[in-house]
Amino acid sequence: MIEIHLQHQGAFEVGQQVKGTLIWTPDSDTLPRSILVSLGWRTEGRGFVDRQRVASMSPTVNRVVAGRPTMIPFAVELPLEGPMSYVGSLMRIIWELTVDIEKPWAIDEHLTIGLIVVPRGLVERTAAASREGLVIDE
Amino acid sequence: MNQQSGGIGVSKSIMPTVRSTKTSDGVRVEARQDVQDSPVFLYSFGTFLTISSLVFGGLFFYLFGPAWYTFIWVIAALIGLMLIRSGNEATKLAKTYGPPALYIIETQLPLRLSQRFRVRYQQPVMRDVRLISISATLLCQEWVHSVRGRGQGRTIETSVVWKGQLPTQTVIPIVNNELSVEWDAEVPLSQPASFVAEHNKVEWYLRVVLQAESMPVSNVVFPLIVRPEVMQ
Repeated sequence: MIEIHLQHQGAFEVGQQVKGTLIWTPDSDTLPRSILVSLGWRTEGRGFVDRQRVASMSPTVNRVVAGRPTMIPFAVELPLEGPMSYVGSLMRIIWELTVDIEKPWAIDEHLTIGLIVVPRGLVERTAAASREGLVIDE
Repeated sequence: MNQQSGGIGVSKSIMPTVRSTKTSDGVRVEARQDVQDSPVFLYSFGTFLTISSLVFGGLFFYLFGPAWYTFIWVIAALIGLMLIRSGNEATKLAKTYGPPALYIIETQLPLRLSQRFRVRYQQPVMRDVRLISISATLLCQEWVHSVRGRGQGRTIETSVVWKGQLPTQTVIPIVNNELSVEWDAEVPLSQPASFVAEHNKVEWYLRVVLQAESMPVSNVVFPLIVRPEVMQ
């Protein structure tokens, strides 16, 4: 079983690091062939699908015990140019953090979670606006 | 526990490319030029379509008489004539107005969300025309490459996400045979940034429409870039 715990709650800004811990509870003592944490976006909607993996890392573990959770920290960075998450009438842009654990002679394990990516400076701008009692114009 | 970071491939840029140059007047942005709007293309394709439609239509009429499929060639010939007419209008515009230029003053490209900026549209006027109005629209548009019908053909679908009309000007100053008009604009905070992938796009444009007496309407489109960053 895989669980992902992110350090940061809520939306991420472009350029920000996505840090967290991958908690993997293996069902046997066998070491995995590979663990891959990847960050990417894909489109959905009326058009053909575009997708891109923008960052990935391959943590390695030296020992696993069946039934005991293994904590694997990770950090991947969102690119500065985005894209930001988007929901339009013809297309959507969806960000995903995916974990793939490839196991020898066993069914591989995968987990994908969605992320919300907003423009750089939006969080600061919203905080400043709320401090001043302003409403950000939608 | 060891960690190997990396495995990061070279990501393709998702920002559009815009032809622009830095000048003392600001950043000069070149207008988008579509081949299918050029007089040469319109004349040559229109003439080819008209002549071939008339030849094949005449042949079909001679061989099969007044059947329904004979009239398809009549419709094709009419489309060819319309293209020739559009070519005529494009030539008239090219002879009257010089190459347009858009200057983004006191700021740089790419633009940012919630950024206010000033633009100046300049265009030589080579003939004596009475300009009626000039208007500009800042617009954001979605573009997708999709399958049409039952997967037989591919098509491009577009949808305007947001558009902001800038004030229409009816008094248009022409100095040294060049018109020059300025507008203030703002990229709204709530809109998406530019995004370009193979089959999906979010594009930003400034469209300038110039109307003059006894002239076809001139429609010039300048692509812009908006990056996902909020102006503080």
